[in-house]
Amino acid sequence: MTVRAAAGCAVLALTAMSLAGCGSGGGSTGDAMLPLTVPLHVTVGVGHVAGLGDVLVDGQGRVLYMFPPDAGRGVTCTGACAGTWPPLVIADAHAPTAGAGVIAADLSTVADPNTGARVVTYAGYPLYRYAGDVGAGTADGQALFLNGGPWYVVDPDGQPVTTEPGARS
Amino acid sequence: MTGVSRRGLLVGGAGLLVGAGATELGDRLSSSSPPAEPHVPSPGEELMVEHGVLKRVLLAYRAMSARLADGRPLPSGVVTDAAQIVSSYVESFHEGLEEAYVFPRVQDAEPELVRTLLVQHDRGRHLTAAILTAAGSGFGTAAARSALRADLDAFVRMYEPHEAWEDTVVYPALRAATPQRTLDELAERFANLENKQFGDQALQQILDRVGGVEQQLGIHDLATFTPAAD
Repeated sequence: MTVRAAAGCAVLALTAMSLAGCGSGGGSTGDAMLPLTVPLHVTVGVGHVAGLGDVLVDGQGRVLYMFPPDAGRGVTCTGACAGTWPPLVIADAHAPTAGAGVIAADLSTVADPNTGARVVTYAGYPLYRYAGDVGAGTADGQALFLNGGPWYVVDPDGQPVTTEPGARS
Repeated sequence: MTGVSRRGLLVGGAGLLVGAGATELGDRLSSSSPPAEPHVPSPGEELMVEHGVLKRVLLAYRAMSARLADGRPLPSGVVTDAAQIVSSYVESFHEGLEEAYVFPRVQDAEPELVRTLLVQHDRGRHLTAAILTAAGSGFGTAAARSALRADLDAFVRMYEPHEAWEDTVVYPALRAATPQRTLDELAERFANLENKQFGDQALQQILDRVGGVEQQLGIHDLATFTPAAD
């Protein structure tokens, strides 16, 4: 783990800095302007969010989202979009790990146009975090229409959960 | 109006930049006479021009709120126009730049402030979604007008201090923590991303849209904000 990644995990910061995750190892990206470390190991698990049910989370319990415009096109969230929705990246030639409740066969990776690394996918959907989720277990980006489309959490079967925030309480 | 690029405005428009309240610009401008080369904007300058766009939308939101409070009608489409500028230019672009390139560089120096700014970005996006929904429904009832006014006021109340803290704390911290060469590359990156996302006349087009909103609300003439002499 890099020092930068360790600091990001300690404060649960959710900017591009914490893209590194809290796994071991990692390296810099192909973009010197992005101050982040790409981890060698990434785990995708399942967490529970009130009103949304069981949804995919990263190794730190932070909720993961999918972006419908990505369907069939890979990672379309680039540039400023990737600041707000940091893709769940992993170093090239490394495979993500399935946590409890996650279907390992649905995990894969796709090229990341932002960093030159890989982005973890589930059931074909590239996975992202939301910068506005400043702690584990929140899903404040749910159904938010931003950067040209809506953003949805993903259930363990690989289906987007389209519940609107107002319908959750 | 003749199209002007962001870089053209920034390189040639020193008055605009000083008007944006950039303290760092004073140093640069005062030390650059006569300039040997065109002034190259810093990333902080790029972001503060975007804050200038937001400030003008906040003025429009204030004017809308005042009309709602007085029971006066709002011009058709003006709420949607203003909120879409915020959604597309501020929330889907400007804030993403901050979250990708700025906040990670000042996280160690200002961890609590960065956390607060991230939370406020999120709250702002939800307020904008509510404002757009209200505008789409026509806000014909007193309750809907009251709710819209509350959302407009909440947005203004949050973003005035939000951008003030970014201008006076975050951007100076970015400059302090970042080598000059990287700052130059960041400024170039911001300009390129804007061109890619909105076209090379993006800033002028956004300013024209803001001007249209101001015109509809009768706040398009800067002189109307000047207090009368005794």
